[in-house]
Amino acid sequence: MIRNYVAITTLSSDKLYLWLLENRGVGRIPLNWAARFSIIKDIAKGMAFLHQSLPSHKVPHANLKSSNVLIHRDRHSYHSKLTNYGFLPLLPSRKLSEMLAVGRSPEFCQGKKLTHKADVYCFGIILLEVITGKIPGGTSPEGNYEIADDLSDWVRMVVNNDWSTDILDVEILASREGHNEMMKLTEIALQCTDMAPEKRPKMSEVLIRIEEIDRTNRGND
Amino acid sequence: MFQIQIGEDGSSEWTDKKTAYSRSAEDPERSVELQFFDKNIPVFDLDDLLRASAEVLGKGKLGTTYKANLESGAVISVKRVEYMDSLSKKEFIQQMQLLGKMRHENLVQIISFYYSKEEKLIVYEFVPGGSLFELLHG
Repeated sequence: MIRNYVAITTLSSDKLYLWLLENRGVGRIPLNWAARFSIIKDIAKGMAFLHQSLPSHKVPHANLKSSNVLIHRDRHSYHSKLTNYGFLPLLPSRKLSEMLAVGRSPEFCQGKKLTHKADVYCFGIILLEVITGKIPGGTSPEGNYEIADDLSDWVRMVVNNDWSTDILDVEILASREGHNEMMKLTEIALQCTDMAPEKRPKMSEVLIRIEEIDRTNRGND
Repeated sequence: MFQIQIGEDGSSEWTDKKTAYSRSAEDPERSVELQFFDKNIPVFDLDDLLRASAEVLGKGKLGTTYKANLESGAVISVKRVEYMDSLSKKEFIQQMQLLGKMRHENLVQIISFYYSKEEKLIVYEFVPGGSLFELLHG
């Protein structure tokens, strides 16, 4: 990871762009910022609804990750729907629940009890994944992607060094008008991925903040 | 192309259409009611589901998801859930009924489910655009 990073800083930006694209599929259509923002907002809406609808459930979704966010497009925009939710009560042992996305939350790894905030953690990871274009730690289906071990730590490091736009996915880096939104969402992502569950915001608060960013930056009323 | 088959013992597998298709899907004894959450969705029974042509959408840690084209023209997604064998029928049904009641434009709707000791299926609405993972990293 570090070796790759050093290597690419010596390349020109054109070459860097090609180098990054080569890690993705041939003929790939870049996913622009407006589409990413719309997808994120939909995920937050779905999660806030789940948390509101299943208040007595320990972790209402429990399996929130990018492969469990399904996309449908209409002529103008991208929309997303959450799937494979509500499985935690169906997997009663620790060994089984480890297979869910919440199995990678700090509280699960530390053997602490899970709450709604484990879902918030997974939401934060998705935010970082959408913003950086990096695959969260773990293995990819084909195993041919560059894998970051701990994405949230990596992003914290970069942001703290005032290099904040460096974290952005090369496909959205050119949309300068979106940088403000991207940085605001990164801030939310960092709060959602706080090691301490009680410091993470609630899904309902996250949704309000994302809708606020949407209103401010897009001039919607 | 695949089809689901369910044996007399309730076990099932999606098999290649060209190979073993031994047990009659028309056998009325074996017809099993699926439970539906939404009266607006055209009802189908398990045999319709088993006769549907299907393709694998994805293999996850918890099981395989298929896209199934019913003879009626409807397209649905079916998840075959593994690792839930220790679960009682009551527990599974209770949770499915709870989840199936939820309606939101940003949730993939659960249309129906099937429970037997050997086989648990969850029928979802089909969403055509693939996953966010594929969109970001494909």
